[in-house]
Amino acid sequence: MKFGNYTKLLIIFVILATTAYPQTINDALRLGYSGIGSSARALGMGNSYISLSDDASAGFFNPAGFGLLKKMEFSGGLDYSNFSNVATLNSNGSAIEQSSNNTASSTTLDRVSFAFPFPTVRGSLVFGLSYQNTKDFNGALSFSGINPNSSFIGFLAANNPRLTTELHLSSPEYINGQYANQEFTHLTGLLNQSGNIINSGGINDWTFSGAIEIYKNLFVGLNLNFISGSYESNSDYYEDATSKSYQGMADTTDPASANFQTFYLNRLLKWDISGWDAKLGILYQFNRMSRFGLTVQFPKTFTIKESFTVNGYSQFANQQYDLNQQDFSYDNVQYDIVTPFEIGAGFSFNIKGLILSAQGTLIDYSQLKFKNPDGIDAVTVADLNKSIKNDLTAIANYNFGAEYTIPEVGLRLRAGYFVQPSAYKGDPASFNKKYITAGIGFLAEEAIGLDLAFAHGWYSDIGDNYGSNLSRTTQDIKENHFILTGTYRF
Amino acid sequence: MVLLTEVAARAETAAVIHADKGINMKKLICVAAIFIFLNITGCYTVIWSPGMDFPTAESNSEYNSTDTTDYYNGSDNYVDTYGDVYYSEPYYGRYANYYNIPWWYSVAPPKVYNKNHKNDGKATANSNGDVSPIRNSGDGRGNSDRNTGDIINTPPVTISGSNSSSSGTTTSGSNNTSSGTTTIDSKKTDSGSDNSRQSTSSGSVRNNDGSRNDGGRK
Repeated sequence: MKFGNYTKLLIIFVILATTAYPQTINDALRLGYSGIGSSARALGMGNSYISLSDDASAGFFNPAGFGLLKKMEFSGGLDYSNFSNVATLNSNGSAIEQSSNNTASSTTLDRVSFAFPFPTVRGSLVFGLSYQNTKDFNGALSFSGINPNSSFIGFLAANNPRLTTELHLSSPEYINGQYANQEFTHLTGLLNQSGNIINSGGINDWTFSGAIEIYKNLFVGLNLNFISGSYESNSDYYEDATSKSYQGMADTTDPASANFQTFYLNRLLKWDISGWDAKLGILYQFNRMSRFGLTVQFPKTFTIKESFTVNGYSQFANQQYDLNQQDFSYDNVQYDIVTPFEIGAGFSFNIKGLILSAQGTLIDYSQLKFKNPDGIDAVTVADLNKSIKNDLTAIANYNFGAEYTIPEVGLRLRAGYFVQPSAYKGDPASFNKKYITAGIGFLAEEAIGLDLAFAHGWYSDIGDNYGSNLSRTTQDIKENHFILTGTYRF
Repeated sequence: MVLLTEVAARAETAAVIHADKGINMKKLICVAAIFIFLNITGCYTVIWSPGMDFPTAESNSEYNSTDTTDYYNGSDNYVDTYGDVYYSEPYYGRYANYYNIPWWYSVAPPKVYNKNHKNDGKATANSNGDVSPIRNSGDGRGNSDRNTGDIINTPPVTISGSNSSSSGTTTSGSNNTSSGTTTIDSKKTDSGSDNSRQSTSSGSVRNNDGSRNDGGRK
């Protein structure tokens, strides 16, 4: 072995010993974004439910709504979610592939709730317990195209050369005959980039709620919420040689690295999520026709236990090099992600069987924060928090909903619309998540309610395979959600 | 030196983490305090508790948040008789009942026993003559054959002269035994503030032959 190779091994060792595992803004946003809830009635009304919340889903929307319950309620339901997108690979703003279609779907138990109103001589005191699936991380993406301008191999050689070194995809740089602690590669473009990403997981809440009528028609409620969940992202990425790719030795110290064929990287990111939060709600009924709701969602503290597994190889005409999984994988990283306050207000108006409802929720995503790093360089976390402040902004979600009851048959018809704007500064309106919803409800035997809701969402998003705008996928995303909720009041 | 620096850095990091956890704990305590405060000190809500009249539709009507229950009725003519409104409600039909009628209206009010007074709420042997036929029936002979337990009620003593005897001082069985019903009057042995019962007392007023003793009124 040459002296240069010993030096390279030493560098790899040093890098491994001081590795900082960089998280991204997307990790924080994944938890910070609002979910779509777990109530068919609410979703059918565009989740404009802060000022209604008169069922056990109050645990998600407005805990003060529990105070409106006068019967014990046992309710639960299922959620079917379908995610689809049309993705296009771009480089420096130009499309480099034909669009590809991707889908992912899941069916989950989205809620089981119980509410118990205490017998009162006057006013209301109600306690509730809910298990609810408040968010799902389902997603899928695939892409393929020849990128003439850049490559992941080149990006890694410049920014994290140990991987390209191990796969013999880069060569050492020498200055005055000495290794310069830098790598270079000829494989910097004209490679066919392809891959697919499958995301799954979700957030589950155990919510303890209490609500009390503190003045006539004025209800105050509080949630204490314990969070569990998981997230998994499985990514396959390929860079394949084309007829115009570099044919020489990728690693000038290794003749076997001639005639590059394929670079493959598999990344498996897993989160074990726990946490807690609290939510304060107020609901006031002005008269028999109008209600006003106000909620303060205190910052949610998510504790993430993260594991990351990397596999890969490089394929040359006569040789394949496999990545040593141990060198790039870890399972000992833990950190907190703290979401910002969310302040919501809503108003509903009820006239002759028709309920009209509207609400807004203010969220300042620039206050998202990584905290309590364990296994991550503190400087990296500080830089990340600075990026969050620079790149994200405050937004206001807004929701509208309507419900009409046909009393003769006990049937309810619902419709709604809501928007969750993008948290990134300067994003165009097409990046705002927009949902149109519809739903029906039916009451049997004056005690058993059955509600079904459908929501269709659409928005755009982008993702970078590496760097910024070097190999970017643009996605036109569509989501479909069906929620079925059964309620028994007794 | 490097080692010391590293140790100091780790200690600082640990302190920061500890401080953060401390803040979290403070948040938790704060939230719990708010929760408890709101649920205990509600000045408007009155929770039913044993010893209070069980809330019913009638008893609650004066307190109930009728505006709240009105929400799903929507009628301008709503009155506080929920059932009537529910079935006549034009806008929400069966949903009115679904939302408005508390579950405890459909349960029977529980009986309340006060531990401080053992007999509260129970019939007592001397307070309710209706118990006696049950208590004393079917156990041996009936009372028609014996005077045991018969009540001797005497009319008020009349004073009509020193030796006169009043027929009222004797008891008439037909008047005082009521067809087998025995009434045990605990006051019968009282010290005698009621003149009508003095005849059955220990004889502080009258001698065995019926004449007054010396303890009588002079």
